[in-house]
Amino acid sequence: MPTTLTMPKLSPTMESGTIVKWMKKEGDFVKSGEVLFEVATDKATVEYTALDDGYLRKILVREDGEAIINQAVAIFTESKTESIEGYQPEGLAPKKVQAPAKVAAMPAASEQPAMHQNVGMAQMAFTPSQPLKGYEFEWPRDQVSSKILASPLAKKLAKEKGMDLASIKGTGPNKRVVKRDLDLAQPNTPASFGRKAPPELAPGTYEEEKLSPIRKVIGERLQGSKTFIPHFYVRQTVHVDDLVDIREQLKASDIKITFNDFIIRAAALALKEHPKINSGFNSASNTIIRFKTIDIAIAVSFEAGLITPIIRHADYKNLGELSSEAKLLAGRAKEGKLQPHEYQGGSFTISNLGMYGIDDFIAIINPPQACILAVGGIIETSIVKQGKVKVGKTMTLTLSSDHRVVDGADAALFLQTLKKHLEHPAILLI
Amino acid sequence: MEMQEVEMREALRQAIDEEMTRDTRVIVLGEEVAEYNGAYKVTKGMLDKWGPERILDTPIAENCFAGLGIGAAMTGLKPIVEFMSFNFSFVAADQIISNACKMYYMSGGRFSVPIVFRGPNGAAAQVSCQHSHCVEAMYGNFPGLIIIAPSNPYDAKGLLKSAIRDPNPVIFLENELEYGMKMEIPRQEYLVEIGKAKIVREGHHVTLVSYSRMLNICKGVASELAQKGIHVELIDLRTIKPLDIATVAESVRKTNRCILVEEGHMFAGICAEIGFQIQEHCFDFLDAPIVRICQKETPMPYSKVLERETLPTKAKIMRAIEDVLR
Amino acid sequence: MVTKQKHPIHFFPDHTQKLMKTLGSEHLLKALRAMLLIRNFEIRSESAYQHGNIGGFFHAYIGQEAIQTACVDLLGQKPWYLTTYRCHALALLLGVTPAEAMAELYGKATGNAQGRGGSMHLYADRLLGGFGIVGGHLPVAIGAAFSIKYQKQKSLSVCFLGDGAVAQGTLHESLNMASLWDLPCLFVIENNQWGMGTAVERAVCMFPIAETLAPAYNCKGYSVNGMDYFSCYSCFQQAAQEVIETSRPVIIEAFTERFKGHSVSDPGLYRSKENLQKAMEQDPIIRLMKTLEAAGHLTQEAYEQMNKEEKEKVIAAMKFAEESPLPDVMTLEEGVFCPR
Repeated sequence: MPTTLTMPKLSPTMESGTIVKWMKKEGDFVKSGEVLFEVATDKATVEYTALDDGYLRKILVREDGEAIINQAVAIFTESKTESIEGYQPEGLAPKKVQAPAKVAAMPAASEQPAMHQNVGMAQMAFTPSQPLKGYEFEWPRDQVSSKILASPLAKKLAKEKGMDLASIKGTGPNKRVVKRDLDLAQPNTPASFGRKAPPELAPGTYEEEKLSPIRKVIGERLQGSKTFIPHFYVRQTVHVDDLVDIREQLKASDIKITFNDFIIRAAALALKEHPKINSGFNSASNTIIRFKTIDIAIAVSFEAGLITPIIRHADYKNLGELSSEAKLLAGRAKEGKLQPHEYQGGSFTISNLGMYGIDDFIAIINPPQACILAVGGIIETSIVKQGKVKVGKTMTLTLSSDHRVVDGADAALFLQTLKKHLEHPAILLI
Repeated sequence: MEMQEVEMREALRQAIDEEMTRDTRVIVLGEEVAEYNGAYKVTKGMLDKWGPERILDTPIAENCFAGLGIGAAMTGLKPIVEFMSFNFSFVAADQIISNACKMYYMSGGRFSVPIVFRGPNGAAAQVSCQHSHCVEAMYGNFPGLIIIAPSNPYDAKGLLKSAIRDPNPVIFLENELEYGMKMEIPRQEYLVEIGKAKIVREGHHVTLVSYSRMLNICKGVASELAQKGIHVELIDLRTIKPLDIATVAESVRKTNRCILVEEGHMFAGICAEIGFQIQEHCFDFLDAPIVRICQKETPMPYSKVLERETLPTKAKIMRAIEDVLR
Repeated sequence: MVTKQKHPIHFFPDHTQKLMKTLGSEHLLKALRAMLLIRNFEIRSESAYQHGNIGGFFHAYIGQEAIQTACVDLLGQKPWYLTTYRCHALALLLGVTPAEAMAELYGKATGNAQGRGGSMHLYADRLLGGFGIVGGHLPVAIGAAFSIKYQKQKSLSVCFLGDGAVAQGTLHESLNMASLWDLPCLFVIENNQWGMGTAVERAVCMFPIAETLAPAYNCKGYSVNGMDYFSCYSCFQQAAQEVIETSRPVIIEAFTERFKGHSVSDPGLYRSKENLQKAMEQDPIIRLMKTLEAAGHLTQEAYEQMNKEEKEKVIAAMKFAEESPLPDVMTLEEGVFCPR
């Protein structure tokens, strides 16, 4: 059986050696103890003597050749004639020079949450951002100190008790918060400075609510209105001292009329005088609708959303009748008992946020109508009359109009008429 | 229980004497231990009692007689080797470090070395630079050694007996300045367990840890502070290695503050080791940084005032305690 | 450079013929076989080192075999023995099997010290080690002698050391103490002429060493030809008897040669080829073999056969070592302290 001679380790730090000279040639008999070759190590050139007797049959690493420790350098056989055909020498393979590792590919861009997907040119999709993971809630710090000093024990106890270290006065060295300071700190009552436990939810946590049928309708109609109708707005402040006075007078006789009722009546009269305002736009056929009857819709807010019951032929009804009907319709609206014919249609809409204390606002047109009147609340303020500043009551009206149907002048004139009626309220009574 | 009042040196002598009675393999060797009756009189009267075969005066050759002790210990005897002071042990360092503490592990458990190296450690009265070393941190760094440093005669006797009976090499550290310390101890035989610290005084404001001569200074500190209403929990390590960290950690978890006092130098000293272990076990329980009072980074100077200044003092310890409670 | 005065060496007589008769051929063939085991062990394990199976330091006893073989032949398991890091031979002579020794060199769990000591730290029932620090074991040796004396055993402590250790203070301390206290310790200085790469005459001012030291320490000192088995045996016979009977130290200086460098990493470039060649002509094994052959106790074939058998023992030991498991790392921290 042939044997392999491998490169020996001739010093503790030697990793490879170069064979300087072979003292024997292939075919020679080598006796144990004879010098076989000279090898240059990292330290010196040394002789290597054979361990056993044998015949040197093949030299695998020639002179000037380098071999690593335990790499095969020669094949030996015990007898002269033994075949070495097909014999695989044992030992380690020399290391190949490593090609430099390819530069690691750039990491793939992290998944961005689907934010701005363009769905044609019609409408961008707006979706909520994902809640922040791993958000560390930090109590806001006093601007002056950048770091709170606290002993490890104080930190541990503060965390356990849900106390805010920033709110605790430290009495240790360098104002360090120590255990005794926690004992002295304010108890956690609702009105205390000490905060409660830090928030549990990751910032941006959300739930999604499906749209109810009514919200869907409101959404679609008003989105369509706001997007496609060229709104413009005209605002007018009205002095309502006299109106307030008339209402008080009626109240004294147990007749309860709301401000909104007065406005409906005034609007009905004004719409009669300004039929252009009592119009609409048919976006299916691109034609102007001229309503022949004055059907005023009133915006009513209720639990499920917003609805607009309609007072038909408002111009034929007097203040009292309008008031009753409005009240009735509003009540039914709030109970969700309106029939479709009672809220579908109308030639003009009034929306009032006055009872919520709002000064003024801008309403979205109720299509296919051309105009909507937004009514604010009555405020006591300084007014100028005949060059003198006085205290008086005012109300702000804002008319939103569809510019395909109504021009600025039309809107202005309508509002002037409305103003006239509200400031001289006697006419509303007849 | 019948008591006897003894000096530290007598307590040590009794320990050796009792063990020599109990076990014929115990012998004592060192400089001046026999005819001179011991440089510090620890072996007084022993030569007369036991004869020159068991109480052996050595020439001044520490490496040789330490090695002789090791060879005897490996081959059936139980030698007590006295270093006249542990400063001289450095001459025998190779024997202690390369042979004594390695032999059991290196021989795969075949040969053990049941030897005790004992003698005074640390400063005495103005004995200057070469005679004042504290060796516990240095020897403590080599696995295989047991290191004991009692602070009083009761512990000294009990621990020396345990050390002599132990099959491992022991470094037993005494104090020259405390050989005359008097205490009442039992007449009856007793042992003190190696590796167990003792809570000398209970308290709740701060844990004070020390050993050997410094422990006695800490005792004075604790008493004085108690009068001021500061209650220190004082722990005497008694054995330095293996360290009874459990006792120390339990105390620190209670008091949340810790002061460590040693006679040895600051850098890489015993306090550094204990402080680090406390930090490992009690991190969340610390209400103040751990403080160590050690010998300053100078060789021991000769002059009385300089010697005093470089060592821990009662005042330094008290100030540290008051500071840490602020 | 000061020319040192050399005193004549008084070599201990070899008594070859007398010993051949009294010991007999069987004993001597056994001695030869023991030396061949050592020789094969050292050669093969050095080769194993070169192939990465053995690490650290490796100090071969090749060339010095006659000394320790003769000593253990004579004294057997009676004394306490200590030696330097060049300790494989003494371990094998004192009962450590080649397998156990090789496994230790390979760092395996089945090794002599469970892989914890390595080449420099082999142990046996009567072998206190294998020591790594030059001169560090001399006081330990007199401690063993002390123990023998204390326990009233009729025995001695045998301490082998190299010529390099003579320069260490521990030799003076140990000789002084042994002489002062009457300790039965036999110091055997194996002077192989080189302390690592430094020739002995550049390290030690005395020549010869033992004969010069002995009178200073009030004890006997002998020089012996360490390459000759019979000389060594005779010398040990006299010296050991003296140590036991007087309970006093004796110093022997055995002049020998090491055929390899100080350790395996030492290519021995400080010696000339001729110097090494000359040394190898003194091979103690060849010398003993020739003597036995001349006396008709051994043929060349029998010798080759003997060598082959010892070689095979070592090869088997290497196989055992290769196949043995490494120590379980979970046991690392065990065994630092002796249990109470």
